Amino acid sequence: MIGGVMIAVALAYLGVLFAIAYYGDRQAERGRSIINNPYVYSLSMGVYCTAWTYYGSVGRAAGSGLGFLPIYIGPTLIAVLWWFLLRKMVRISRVNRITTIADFIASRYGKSTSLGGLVTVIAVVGIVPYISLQLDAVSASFMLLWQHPQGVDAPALTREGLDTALWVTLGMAAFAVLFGTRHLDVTEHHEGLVAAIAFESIVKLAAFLAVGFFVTFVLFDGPDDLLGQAQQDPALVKLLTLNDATVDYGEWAWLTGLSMLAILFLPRQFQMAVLENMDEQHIRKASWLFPLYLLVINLFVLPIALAGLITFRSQPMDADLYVLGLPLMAGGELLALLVFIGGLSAATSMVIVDTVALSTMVSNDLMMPLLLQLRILRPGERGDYGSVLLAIRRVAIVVIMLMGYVYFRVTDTTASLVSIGLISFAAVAQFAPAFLGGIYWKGGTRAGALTGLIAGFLVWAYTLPLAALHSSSGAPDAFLLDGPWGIAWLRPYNLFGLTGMDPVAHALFWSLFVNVGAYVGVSLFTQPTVLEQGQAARFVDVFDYAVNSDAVFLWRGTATVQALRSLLERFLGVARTERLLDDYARRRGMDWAATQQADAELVQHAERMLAGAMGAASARVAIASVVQEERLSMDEVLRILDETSQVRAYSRQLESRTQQLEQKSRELEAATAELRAANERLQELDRLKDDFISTVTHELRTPLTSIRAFSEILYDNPTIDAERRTRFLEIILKESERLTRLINQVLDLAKLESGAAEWSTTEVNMAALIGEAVTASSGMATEKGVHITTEVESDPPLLVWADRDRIMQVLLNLLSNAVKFCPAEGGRVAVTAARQGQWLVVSVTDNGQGITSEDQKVIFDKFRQGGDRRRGKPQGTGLGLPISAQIIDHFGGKLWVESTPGEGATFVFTLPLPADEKQ
Amino acid sequence: MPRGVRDQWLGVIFALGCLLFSFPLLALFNHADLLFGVPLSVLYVFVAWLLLIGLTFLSHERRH
Repeated sequence: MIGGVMIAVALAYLGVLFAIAYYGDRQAERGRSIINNPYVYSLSMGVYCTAWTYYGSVGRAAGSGLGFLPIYIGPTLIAVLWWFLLRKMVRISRVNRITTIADFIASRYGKSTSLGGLVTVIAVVGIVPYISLQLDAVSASFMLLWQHPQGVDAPALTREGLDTALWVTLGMAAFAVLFGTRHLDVTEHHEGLVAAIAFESIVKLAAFLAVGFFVTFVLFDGPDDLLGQAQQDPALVKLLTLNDATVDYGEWAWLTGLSMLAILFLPRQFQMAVLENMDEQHIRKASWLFPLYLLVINLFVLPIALAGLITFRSQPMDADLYVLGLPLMAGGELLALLVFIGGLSAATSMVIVDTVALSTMVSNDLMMPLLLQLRILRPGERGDYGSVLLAIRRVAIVVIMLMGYVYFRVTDTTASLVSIGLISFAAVAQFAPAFLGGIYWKGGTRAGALTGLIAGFLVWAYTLPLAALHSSSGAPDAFLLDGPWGIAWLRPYNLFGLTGMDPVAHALFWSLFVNVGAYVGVSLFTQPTVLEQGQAARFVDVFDYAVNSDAVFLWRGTATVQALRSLLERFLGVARTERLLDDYARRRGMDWAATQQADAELVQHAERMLAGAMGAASARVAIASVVQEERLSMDEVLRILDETSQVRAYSRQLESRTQQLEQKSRELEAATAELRAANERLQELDRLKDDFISTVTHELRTPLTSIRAFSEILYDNPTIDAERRTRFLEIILKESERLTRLINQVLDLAKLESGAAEWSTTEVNMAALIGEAVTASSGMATEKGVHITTEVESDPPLLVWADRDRIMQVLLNLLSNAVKFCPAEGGRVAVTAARQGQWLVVSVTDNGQGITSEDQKVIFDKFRQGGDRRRGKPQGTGLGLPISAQIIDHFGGKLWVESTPGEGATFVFTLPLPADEKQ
Repeated sequence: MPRGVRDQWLGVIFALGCLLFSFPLLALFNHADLLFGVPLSVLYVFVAWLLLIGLTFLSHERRH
């Protein structure tokens, strides 16, 4: 392919990155952040996936199958705990205005400049192999694409590529300088940078998925075809499982553990996950979204590796370059160009963020303290030190990139990308004891952290990069085989005679062993200073202190406002200092003109402002140069800390008490609502009972009144004639019967409603029962001249399960009602019984005056009777229908009335037929 | 579930994850036999991975 085209496309891509970054910064200035959401935050963490993932994973998979995966499973596991771990790191960093991981560790152990410098050195040296990996991958992919279609064999290609690598190095360094050092204050978020990195995460994911699809579905006929071909070759089948030939379980486990540490402590991850975090709540989404990103980008690694091994069986081709080689082989040049851009985005994202993080460390935690302590920079003098900081950072970027290039030149150029990257992982793992100990254990001291880090770093350097330099020729030399000066137990790959371990696992074990041992051991035997103890409490108990830690003064000092102001101007610039101090004055209601002496609060504020630009340790040195410090005693420090934590604990108690109360009051409300409903129901029932009693009393009084009236007449007139006496006695008798019936029915209804009625359920033949009921009613009917007809299905017999006497009661009630309401002349009552599906339907029809629709609604209520009461004395008790309805209801049926006024009425009830009757 | 209790689940999920990706369980599924057209070992790792992500998702995103 034409080199010019490739360079043009690459430059165009970098131009797009600049445009995005510029847009992101502009939006941030206008207060419309484009990165303040969990999705951009999660994507920006995708900076974890570099050229290692993009090219190296396939290479690793081609050699050890599933062995490429622990590097991504470790972060997934630790992401589950982010809500506790990462949130604490974010909170501590925000409260203490932390600028880098070196600043974090230095700040924790009493703002120690030596510790900050040491961490910086470890980080820079440790990351150099990682940067060389990116240069290696980009230049190799460039060469492969450029020299296509001649086709060159891989080792020769990389040798020729050395010059290319230098150009790539310089190009990337220039880009990183332009891109990464546009601002001074590093605690303010790099909005443009984060937006660009999130964009790069999308580009590399899309490009990798595209080539994955192409290889799996175009080059091969889907995964089945690919696996089918792979299974012809036993060597390829091996790649699909874990075993001694690829990756054993031990290696799997330590790789997982190592990547768990890497995701926390790699400078670029710390930058993105901790320093660029805008909102702690974003961690929730990121802790599943980021692992999902890792899963998706790894889906096609194994298919591409298998496809590469099958396709390039007879040709030499570096497995690290299969991703690019496969589309090129198939003639997909445009796709290959896209793959190249994806690889470039993976590499540039890593290089940009790491160089920004490392150069900030170099300027803030290494050079600045040195310059200040060596009196090369004197804060008391005039001069603009902000630009000095920026210059240091720019030089640092170029130097770090060149170190990466040198490492690439002098080490084994045939080493796989992953093996180079793991060296860097092992280096940053050295931060784990001092860092994790620092945020969970107050007992860790500066001396312990220093000793642990130095010991771990030395063992790492001896067993990994130094050993790697000695195997640069490809074959191990005497130093590796026999040890230095022939001392066998100092062999770098078999320290103290430990054998049977992979070099990286071996180095990781020994370095962390001495690191943890020294950190814990020395910490236990040293006394922390006052400042260390204060910082330890602020880090470990960060959630116990007020969010605004301005309120905590662990340090007392005085200075003139003028001295502080000129110090700030030196580092932050005149305009910015003016703005910051004005803000401060406005918040406190101060007047600068009237203030000569700065109090401790202002000194503290100024230190924090400076820390944002130059790191905590440097800021402390700078402030100390203009402030008269008053030493605080241990007791005072502890008292101050105790007070603030008590206030915090108290407010926390209040908070939880409030929550409890809220919970209680919610429960109470619910209970009250229930009670109110129950009360309403009770009142309703009470009203119904009153109604019932008054109605019953009224109904009882009517017959009683007439009985009493006629009894009085008979009593007062003993001479009354026999005929009248007989008539009166007849009335008394009838009314007494009515009274008895009424009382019986009231009792009956009460029993039914309370459920206390006794039922004896038997099989009832309805045809026979209806016949009996009609016979029983015939006397009354004949008296009124009413003709009763029946029409009952009898084959097969209508059998139901019910209480014979109760059903009889219903039938008699309905029949007597029907007879009662028939016209005096030509009354007819028809009784029918028939089967309808699974129901027995019985109807009683009369040809009386009918029931109006209003009456139809109320006749089943107690003591309500149809017809016009004013027309005469009620003809029944008003309880017959309610009782009948209750009985039918008890057996699972229904009772209702159908009627058109003037044309008679039909009362219908249903009863369920037994199951065997349904057919 | 109150938020505090839900956060404790994260610890449980982490322990589960460590278990899923460690020796005895990995060995149990370490076969190249195809299941749904995918080698069992590969399928196991990716399904366990997805399960872990899904559980983390649930413990963070489910409201009450």
